Amino acid sequence: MDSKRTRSSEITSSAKGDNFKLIKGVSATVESRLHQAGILTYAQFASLSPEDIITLVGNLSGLSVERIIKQNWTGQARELALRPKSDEPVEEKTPPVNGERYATFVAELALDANNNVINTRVRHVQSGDEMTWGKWREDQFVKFFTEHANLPRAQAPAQQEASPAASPSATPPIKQTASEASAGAPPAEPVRDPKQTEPAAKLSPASQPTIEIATKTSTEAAAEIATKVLTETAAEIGSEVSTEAAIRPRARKLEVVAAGSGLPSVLLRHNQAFDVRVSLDFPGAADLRKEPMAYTAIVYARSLSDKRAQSFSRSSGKITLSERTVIKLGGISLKPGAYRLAADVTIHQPGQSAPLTPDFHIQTEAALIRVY
Amino acid sequence: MNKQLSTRRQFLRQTGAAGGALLLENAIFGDVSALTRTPALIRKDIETLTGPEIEALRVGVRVMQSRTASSPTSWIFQANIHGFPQGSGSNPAWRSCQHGSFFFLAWHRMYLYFFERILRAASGSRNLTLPYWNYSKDTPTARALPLPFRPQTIGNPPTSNPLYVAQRAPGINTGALLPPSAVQTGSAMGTLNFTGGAFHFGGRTVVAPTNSGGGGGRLEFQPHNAIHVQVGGWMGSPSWAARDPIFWLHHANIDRLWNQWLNMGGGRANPVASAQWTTPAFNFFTETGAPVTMSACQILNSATQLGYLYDTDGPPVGGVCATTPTAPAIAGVSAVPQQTIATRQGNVTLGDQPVTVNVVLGTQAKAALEAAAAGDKTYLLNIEGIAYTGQPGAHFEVYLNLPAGDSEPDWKGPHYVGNLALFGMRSHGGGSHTAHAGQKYTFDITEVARNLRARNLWNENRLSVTFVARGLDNPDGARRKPKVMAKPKFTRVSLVVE
Repeated sequence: MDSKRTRSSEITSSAKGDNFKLIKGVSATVESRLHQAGILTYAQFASLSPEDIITLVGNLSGLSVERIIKQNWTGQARELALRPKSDEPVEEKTPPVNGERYATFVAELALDANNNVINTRVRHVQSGDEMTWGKWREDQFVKFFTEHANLPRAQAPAQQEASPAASPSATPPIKQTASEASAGAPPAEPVRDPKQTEPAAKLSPASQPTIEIATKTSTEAAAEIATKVLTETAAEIGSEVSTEAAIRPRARKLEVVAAGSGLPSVLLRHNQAFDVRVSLDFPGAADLRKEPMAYTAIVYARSLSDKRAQSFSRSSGKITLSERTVIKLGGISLKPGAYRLAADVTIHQPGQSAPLTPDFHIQTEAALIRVY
Repeated sequence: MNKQLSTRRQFLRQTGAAGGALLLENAIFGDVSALTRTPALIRKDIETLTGPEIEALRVGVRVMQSRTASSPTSWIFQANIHGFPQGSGSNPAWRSCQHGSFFFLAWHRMYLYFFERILRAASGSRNLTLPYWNYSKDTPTARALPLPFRPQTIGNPPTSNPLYVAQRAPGINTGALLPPSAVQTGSAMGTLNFTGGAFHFGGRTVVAPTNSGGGGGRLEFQPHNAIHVQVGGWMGSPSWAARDPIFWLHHANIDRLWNQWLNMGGGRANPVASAQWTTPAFNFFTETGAPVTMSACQILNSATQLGYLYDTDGPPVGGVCATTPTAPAIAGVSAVPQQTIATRQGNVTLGDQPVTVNVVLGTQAKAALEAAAAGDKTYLLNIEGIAYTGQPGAHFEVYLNLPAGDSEPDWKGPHYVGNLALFGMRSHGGGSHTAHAGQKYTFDITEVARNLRARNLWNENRLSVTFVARGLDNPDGARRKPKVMAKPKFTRVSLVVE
């Protein structure tokens, strides 16, 4: 131990986990100590025995096995674990116990200034099926719930109007009923096939896809994409190894950010330019490389009206991998309509253009967006 | 001692002369054949570390703690290799710790080795090594938690101390001492065989790696288990133990004691002829996060194979693996015939006060004991059906035929058998609300029985077994009244002749 070097860039808290204070009876101290012990998610919390919790939290006045059981901490955690986060895929599913199970739904309402519903989106967590319609339609809610929870007919309301049943496929088709258009949704512009020469996604003159890594557009973007500095390296002790096998990259989210707002949005004006942010997780990447990698990112828009996907933005360049890597494609606009965006990112060694086998290949989809 | 130091210096000179420059680590996906660096780095007693060395340790721990849990080089990921909560995802390397079998020492040596590399890289100190906590030293402070681990904050302005854990047993962060019986190593170091038979230094032979094999060696039982129990908190459970930074110093000491045991000679040797021991490969990660596997043949001599040695080590005597183990594989379980000669059934709950269980020795038992005393037999005392739902926060000293009214027995006296320390007996990972029933703890009482007979303290009609709870002592060494937090139970005591 011959030297001391401070590494302030790395010395930051990483124990940011779920909000355990939502569990009745759990204090900030209990939450902090559980996070410190690496219990970061509701699912992890739910798997603990009361004795485990006592062990992990330690000696706190008033904390006892009896209290944990009485207040049903782990049961509460289980409920919270099943409640999906809006921006993350739900990974935990409840296994059937004596036939009991959960059917979980996420509903998202786009509201105007007077709290009128502009747009409704509902998703069945277990199947991944999703449906969207204009305005508020109670009958659509009930129908969606009834079908996806497979409720007995007696519990299901009378079918008021025809609507296509949800597909159980892993990548469900986007559903747009005839009634949606009549309910006030703006007519969707067709998006042409990628083979067509004229793109349906119209790019505003000022926003020809000035596609870039968001390191120089704003301080906020720069902060998002700032990669951890590799403060200790294998070279220090004479070892330099490839570690791709240890990295399991995944797409975290794809967001649409209206130009100038800095905030994710699913509702855009037709003449409003926007950026697409693709967040990628590379667990363990902090120790992976210090050399930039080459990347290519392509964003597709798929119109709900004709289901065809159109590549409308492409970016390539170099990027330094970090635990959380963000790629931003900027200055895009679309014609009115409802779209689902998707991104395809490949990362490979610099100097090889489009290798057949890239080091990483990541795909992700965004929530639906509506341009009016 | 002088002889040992002289030997060590000689060895250090030899290893230094042999190499000179560093041989660089080359552990790429399982190739750990060229890990040696010469001269070897020295793992030191924590009490001998300099201020900068302590600071480097803190920097390394803090950096690892700051990494996201999904990174193989993060503190939590490394701790999860020992134990982890169900529901937090899975990794082939997680919850792979080896207890209760002859893999205990080898697996933990590998675990410490790769952890030390990660810690070294994180600290930025090229020569950082894991220090060890020698709680068995005969000094006033040895039994206290090392000073750098006690304060909640350090420096001015104060910052959090990454070595501090609030959840530890009450008092240990303020200088309370481990009880003397928890730190004794005599029974382990006096054992000659690594494995095989009823009692062994390194653990029972098993046919495959196991988290909890139920056949721990004497070093695992004592002092290893007792220290885990007494430090308490995360250290008290295999699922969480490695989250506490003191875990690594405790296990460095256990690793050091393994080297010391080998250096004692007298037939002490690693089971290099056992294919069951030498073959299995375990998963770890290097400081770059690269997965790597390692097996027992690669860690026999820490200095020559792993590039470190302890400041108390003699010449390396860990043995060498043959290309192909030549001896026949050892059977899964020792098959020495045993005869149960006396039992006592009934639920017994242990607590703050001493508990005595009397086992009546019938005519048949007396005859068997007489025959056993005349021959070369081993007396075993089994505590069976052990169940507990939480950490007792104390270990239990076990005595035979303790005189009535002796509430402060001397563990160095003739009646002392050993410690019942409940660590590692439950399955790892937590998640169960049920007690862990049906587990057994076995003591070798052969020598105690002979001593008691010789001193005319043996009762031909009755065997009394007394359990005395022991918690931490006051910083001045005065004995504290123990406080058993979760009271363990057992259902049967049996006396066996082997």
